[in-house]
Amino acid sequence: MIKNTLLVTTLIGCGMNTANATETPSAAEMWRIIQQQQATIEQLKSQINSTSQKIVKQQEKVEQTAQVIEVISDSIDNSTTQQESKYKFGGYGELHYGNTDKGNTIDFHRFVLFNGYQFNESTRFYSELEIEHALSGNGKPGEVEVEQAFIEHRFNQNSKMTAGVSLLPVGILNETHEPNTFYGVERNNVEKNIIPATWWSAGLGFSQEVSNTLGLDIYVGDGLNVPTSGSKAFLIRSGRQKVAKATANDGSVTGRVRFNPLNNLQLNATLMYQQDITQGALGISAMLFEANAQYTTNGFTLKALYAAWNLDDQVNAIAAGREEQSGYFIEPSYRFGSSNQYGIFARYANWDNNAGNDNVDTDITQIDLGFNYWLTPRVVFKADYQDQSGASDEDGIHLGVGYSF
Amino acid sequence: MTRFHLQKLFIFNNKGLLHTALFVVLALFFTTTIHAKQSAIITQFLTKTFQQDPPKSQRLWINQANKETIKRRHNPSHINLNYKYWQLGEKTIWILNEIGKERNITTGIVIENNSVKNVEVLIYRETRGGQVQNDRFTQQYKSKDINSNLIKEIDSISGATLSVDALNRQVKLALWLNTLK
Repeated sequence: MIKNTLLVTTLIGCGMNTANATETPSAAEMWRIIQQQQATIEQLKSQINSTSQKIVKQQEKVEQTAQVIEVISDSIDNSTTQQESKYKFGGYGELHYGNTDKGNTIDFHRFVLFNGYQFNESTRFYSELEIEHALSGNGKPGEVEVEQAFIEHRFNQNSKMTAGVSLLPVGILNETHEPNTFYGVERNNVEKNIIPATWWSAGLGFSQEVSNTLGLDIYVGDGLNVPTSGSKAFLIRSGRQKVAKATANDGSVTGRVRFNPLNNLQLNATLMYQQDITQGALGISAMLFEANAQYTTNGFTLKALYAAWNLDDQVNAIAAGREEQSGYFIEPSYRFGSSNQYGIFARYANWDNNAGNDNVDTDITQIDLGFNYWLTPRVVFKADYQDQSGASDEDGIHLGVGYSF
Repeated sequence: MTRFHLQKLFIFNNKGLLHTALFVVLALFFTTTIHAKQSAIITQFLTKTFQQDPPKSQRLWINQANKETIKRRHNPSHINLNYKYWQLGEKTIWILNEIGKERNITTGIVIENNSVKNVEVLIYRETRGGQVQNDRFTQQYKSKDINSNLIKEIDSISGATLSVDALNRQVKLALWLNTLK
């Protein structure tokens, strides 16, 4: 009861205080205040409207900006797709040190520059200019060579054609011979002396991918012109004309079948025929058969190659046994390390440039052992030991460094 | 050794060589097929993978720190300002370009639950090394994840090393980008 009385007293007191502070406005005053408030409300309404419109406009702008970014990004994407410039430049090189029964040598064996131009998605020019043995000129040890210079046209994903100077489709390293792609400081002697790698020719080439597992290459071009007398008579390697004012009375035809029945197994076979490898002098026909296999699994690789030339048997009268020139090698290797940066290999090779002579042993056997260390996938340091026997006995070691880009 | 008589065949007489060459050229012109547009190839791949119209593409923008990581860890032939990807549910598709020897290889990499679901070479432009386009090669990437050592785990192809290396870089990069999005 006492509490209620106190509360009422307090409320009355407050009411009296309020009445004392602001007197009740007149009706006119109230009307003025209402009108002022109404004006303020109108003003706020219009501000809200204008702000909403601005927000809508901003949203539109943001969307437009997003679209612009999308367009620019797409255009950047397209230009990065084209980022591979139309002008191509690359190269490879290898420095060799040899300490064999023939002596000690250090040689910048090959310095090569690639140049190319991409005319459009289908047509390109490609070339390889090589300086061998660092110094060329009259009486100097080296040579300057145009090993490749051709126009390539792709008809579709599966067919292409080349016209010009190209590497012949034969062997393992004739077309792919950057130093980081093979073992041994020097290239293997079978491909060098029998095929003979590196071998290039001027003409027309055609390649067709028949299926996922089968490919065909055909090459029609200039042919060999072998010496017909002396110690190098009918030696295949000495018949390379290098497209240097080459005699073109008789051309050559090369066909290769590429077959990869398994992802990691590649089988290739090449047949080449030339009607006269003396370019009209003696009428010596010749045929090369070459086959190779390459198998890789879990770091192990096995490479094997066989190549044999059969020449018209007339040649035996001038150079005994030259009618057959053949050889083979087998090369197991193993790569290891966290990024497969180490590799060891062994190679057993046998070849004979006078194999048609059964009476005399003229073949050479070479065993190589060595390792590669890839500093990066395309920079390699190499070391190997070679042991020859048979018609040649050059033993020794090689050290080398090579690169390609 | 018997003498060869192949010169009796048409192809091996001098005129025959020329005729054969001309025949090959003409035959090729008639069998030429029109290059499918590159964007059409990509759309086709997206539609096939999602089994419906592909979702709108998204972009992963690369800041300076990520750019440096890409350079150090992946060392690709070029680093984009952003990488486009398509995502539907757990499935993400990255389309990347990488130079093998001298030309871009365009590859689609499908990632699901942080591991590779599929890899397909969409446009191959290099001259040699085309074997990487085979399913038999690309299926090796299935189930690989960011911890896989692709150099060790993917069987390389003789004569196609640079293309194999390029694909390894693409798959590794896609797996890493997938963790950033």
